[in-house]
Amino acid sequence: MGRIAPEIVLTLLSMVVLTWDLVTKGRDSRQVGYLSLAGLAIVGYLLIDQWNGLRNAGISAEPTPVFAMMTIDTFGIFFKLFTVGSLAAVMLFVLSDKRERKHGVGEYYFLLLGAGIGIFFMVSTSNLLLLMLGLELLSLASYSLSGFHKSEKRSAEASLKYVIFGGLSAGIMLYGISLLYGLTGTIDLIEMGTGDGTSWPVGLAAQFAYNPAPVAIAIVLIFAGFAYKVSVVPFHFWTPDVYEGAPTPVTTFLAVASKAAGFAVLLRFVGLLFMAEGVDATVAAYGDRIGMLLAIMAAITMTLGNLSALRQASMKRMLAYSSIAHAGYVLMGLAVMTPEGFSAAMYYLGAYYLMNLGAFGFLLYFEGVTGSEEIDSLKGMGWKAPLVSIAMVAFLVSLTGLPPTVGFVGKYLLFVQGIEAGYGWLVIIAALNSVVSLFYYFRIAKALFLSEPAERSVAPQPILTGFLAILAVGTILFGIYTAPLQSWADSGTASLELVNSAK
Amino acid sequence: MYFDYLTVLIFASVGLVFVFANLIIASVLRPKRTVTEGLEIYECGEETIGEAWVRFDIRYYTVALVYVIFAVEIAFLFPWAIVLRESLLGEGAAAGLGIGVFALVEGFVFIAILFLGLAYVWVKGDLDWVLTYSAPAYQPPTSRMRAIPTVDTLEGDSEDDSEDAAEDTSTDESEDAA
Repeated sequence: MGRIAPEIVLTLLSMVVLTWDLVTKGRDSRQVGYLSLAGLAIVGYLLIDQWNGLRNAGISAEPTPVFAMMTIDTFGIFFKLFTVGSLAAVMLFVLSDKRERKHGVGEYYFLLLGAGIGIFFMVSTSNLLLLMLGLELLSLASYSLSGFHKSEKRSAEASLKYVIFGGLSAGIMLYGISLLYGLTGTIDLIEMGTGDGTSWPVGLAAQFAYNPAPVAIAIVLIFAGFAYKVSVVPFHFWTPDVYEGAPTPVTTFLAVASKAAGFAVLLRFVGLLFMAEGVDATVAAYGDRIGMLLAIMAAITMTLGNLSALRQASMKRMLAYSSIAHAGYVLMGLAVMTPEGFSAAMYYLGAYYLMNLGAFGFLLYFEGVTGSEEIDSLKGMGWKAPLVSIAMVAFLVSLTGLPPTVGFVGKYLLFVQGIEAGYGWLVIIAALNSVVSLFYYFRIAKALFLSEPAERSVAPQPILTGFLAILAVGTILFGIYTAPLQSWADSGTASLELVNSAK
Repeated sequence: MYFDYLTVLIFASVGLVFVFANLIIASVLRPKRTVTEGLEIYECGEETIGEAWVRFDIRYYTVALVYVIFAVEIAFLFPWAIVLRESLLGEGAAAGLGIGVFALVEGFVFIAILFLGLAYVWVKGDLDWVLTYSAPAYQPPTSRMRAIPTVDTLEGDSEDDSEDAAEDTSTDESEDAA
């Protein structure tokens, strides 16, 4: 019980938050926000405590799963801390969103916490059933969050699109899981990978020999569900519309926490099925083909995301396409199918957290000022709000992948792993894509600083400004001093106990 | 090896043929009545009024959703109760297999969370058949196109409304541009 204390506290917190909102009849939703932030601090503390406990004991995962379902390991805790960090940031955004009402919006925090509970369970299990439950909890909360401004046409449209796409992909994924269960006789990824076919559950190895086609179909179907969650081509169609229609804090949540959670389960799925210790040699060899599939998806995703972002006039829509492109970069780390590649992907997700939260925070800041999300409306604003704008330039440099920022180190690590694994062509495509992205990211910087100073005066938003400044400092600091984030990512990957696949 | 699935194919085709064969046989055999009384509704003895394609009140949907949640709760609690009896009192407890007390507490936690949901819809007024706010005064259709009043905007202060309207206009432009 004590081992899932963070989950229990988070669940209790969401109940308390909802009850508080009901008892006060939604009179002051900001109080609910502060309560949620305080609760998240406790959850974060418990997680760090767990992490240190594991590290001090010299292990990366607890030997026995909780209720034979939840593995407490550094990989899961990495992503749980990531989630707590994103949730806190998103709540801060909600609190400083000038277009949000001050009362009657307590559900915002409840739904965010609910999505957090879903993520907590899905990132820490090797059991496909629990994974699916967590994924659905996250999805359901996200659907209602993206339609939070239900009287606004765009928001309602975003929610409907998200529900329809989400329902379809969840169905496809469940079908894939049911096929895998039928083929291997287990819903546990570890047993699927290590089963040698001589005893029940038979595992994947035996099925590769007898039923290669159904196994391939099942795995591709499951990938469809993950690809939808992390918005990888060809399951990206919902991304621009939903990101644009949803309230900006919710967009931030979808782009950062939800996407990282999707990558977490994808990493665990691919890792445990094809690369874990004790996986049959035929299965590991099949992993290389999966790697090629992921590499092709990565190449198409980053190219399509970047090329579509070029033409966007709305900054929110541009960031949506840019988040598709970044999903492609992270996918490179998976495609190489090595533990080092996985660490690089996790490092990049850490970088993505800093720079994308920053970019969305900037968007929120200026939505509050100009009431518009067009890039043109930013013209000359850099001189009016210098601190935020300079921070934004740091985020843009990092998103493009230029030194001395964390985005550069992330891309560098991914490219090195790509070249070592023999995916030279993919690295070339990624590098060309970074050049393309320079153009559209710097349109924002150009609008901010290379125009006549704007007439409009900007009301100060000290809390948001402070938060963006911290993120900007982090973006640059982690770009120079790379060791901490790298060691976190490495110890996260270590708990998956991956071995290099047969090359 | 794909012949293993031949039975499935045969089963499916027999099923398909069965349906249509019966329809065809029935259409040949059945008496053909042309009197109009035979075509009228008889099930509940009520004459229909108007068409079925009318707008249903959206409140049906809320009630249906709440109903589904509690129907699912029942579906969960029956097996829970059976298993619980086994592991608390039956042979399972004697063999030390039970998760008895833990499952008992867990079940009540589950019920408590569901009841929080019930409290939520109750407080928010979704269980009231007649909604608690009065309908807005009639507006001509041209001005009605803007913000459609909801519970939130009616209760909220007037500045929210004007902000919503401003957002709406900017939305339409940006959609064209994209």
